[in-house]
Amino acid sequence: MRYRLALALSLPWLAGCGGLVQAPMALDQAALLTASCSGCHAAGGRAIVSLDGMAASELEAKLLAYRNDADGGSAMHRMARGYSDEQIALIASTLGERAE
Amino acid sequence: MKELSKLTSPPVSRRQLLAALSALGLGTLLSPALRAQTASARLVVVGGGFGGATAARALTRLLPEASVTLVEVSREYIACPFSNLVVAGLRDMSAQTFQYRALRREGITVAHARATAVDTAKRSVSLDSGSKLSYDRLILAPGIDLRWGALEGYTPRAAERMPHAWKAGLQTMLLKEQLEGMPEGGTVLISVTAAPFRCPPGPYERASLVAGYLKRRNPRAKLIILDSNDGFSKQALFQAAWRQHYGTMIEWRGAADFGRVIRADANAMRLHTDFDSEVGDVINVVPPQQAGKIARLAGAVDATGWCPIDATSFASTLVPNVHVIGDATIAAPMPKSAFSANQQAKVCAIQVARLLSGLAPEPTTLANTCYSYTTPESAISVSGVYASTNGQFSNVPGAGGVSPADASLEFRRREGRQAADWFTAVTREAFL
Repeated sequence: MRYRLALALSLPWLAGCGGLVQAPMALDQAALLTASCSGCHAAGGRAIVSLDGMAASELEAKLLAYRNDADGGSAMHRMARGYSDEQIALIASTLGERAE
Repeated sequence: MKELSKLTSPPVSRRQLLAALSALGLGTLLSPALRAQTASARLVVVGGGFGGATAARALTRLLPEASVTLVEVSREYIACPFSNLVVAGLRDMSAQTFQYRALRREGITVAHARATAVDTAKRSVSLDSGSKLSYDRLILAPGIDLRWGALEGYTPRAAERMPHAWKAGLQTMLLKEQLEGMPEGGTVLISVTAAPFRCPPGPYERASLVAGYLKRRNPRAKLIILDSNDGFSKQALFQAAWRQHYGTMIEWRGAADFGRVIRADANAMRLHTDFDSEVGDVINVVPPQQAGKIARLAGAVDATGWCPIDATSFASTLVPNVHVIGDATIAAPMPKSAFSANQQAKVCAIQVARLLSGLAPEPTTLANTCYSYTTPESAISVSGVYASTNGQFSNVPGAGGVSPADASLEFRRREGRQAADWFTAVTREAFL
């Protein structure tokens, strides 16, 4: 019984989509940086913009476009300007991977 | 529940930990001894708001074999963000109310008791239920306490006539009911304490939404903000919105214009400033604040009334093995916001897990956006990006700032929708 319940609970993790349980977190810089994202863009639910299913390359291109658009006034424009190429690549590969 | 965690978690968590460690060239650190250390870790979080609830969940995900206890006296959490919409009659209180069932389901022990003492030498927290919780690491997320009496005359009793509504709940409903019962053509006073306080743009969002309510229901009414500060968050945007939507209904008096309130007289419904006084039909006092009491009892508060922290690890600089997150911290330029608390919780949980795993806390970059409604549909925002290097937060140059001054109505409405979606996402991450 306990095992069956455990299996049921573990499925969302393995599927990488959050019903009750959200994506697991590691302890590295990728996890630290993406802590800024999940308050608005957590997996598997309504978000400002859902990142579900977004490839890492697409996410990286979008973040770079936000950062490099000097005229952009949205909150994402204003925040993206605070991140380096390397940080954006790391964020994109971390959250993009999750969506696969 | 702990055994259940053992069954469910290893497929992901150990692999992730291993990957993280090997990426750092520290794979050999994941010895049986280390695993035993993180597995047996006792983690206690005090305070079940946006910071504490998020921290407890993040710790459980990062360290599924550790025991995580969340201490929160209330059985329900009533969220402050969006509560100004409740005051203005635009939102039901039920949309602000959250429980802790989801946290329990994940294996977190939720103790509905008041933490009454912290023994940092013995590493234990005493609860008013009589029990004691031992911890390896303690995370304090106590939010704010109001400093009763710091504004002369502003006592808990005065707050029944002059609500603060700065902790959401009955006070929110009281202010809403007072506005509904206000005589035609009456005056609303909003007194704003000197910074720092919870939710820097909050008083001005409240003024906006209250003015909107008055414009609909009581159009000859007047709203005066008596401010102890000389300027405020998103000031130019707020003031432009006030002129555009509410004409001359809102008057703002800064400290330089003798807006600083020095005494509240609840019987006379009067606020005294340095040189003058104003009578209000409805008086909302945003009072002086400090870190929640348990942080003071733990010795984590300095002379400012707030908690100094190492920004990288969120460790208290005053007491060992204690971390502090959210409104209670001195984290400027990060604001005291739910957005900040939620994010600090996740970063703090990772740093605590690193410390328990024998890794040094690692500096990173954090961000914040605070939305404020200026009408029921339109919002403005302020963003910041912060580096947590050298133990302090600093603004990342070239980033952050406020919504454009010349934005279209559609842009303002889009930010209004983003604000609503943020609330949905962040409450889901913390509570649901």
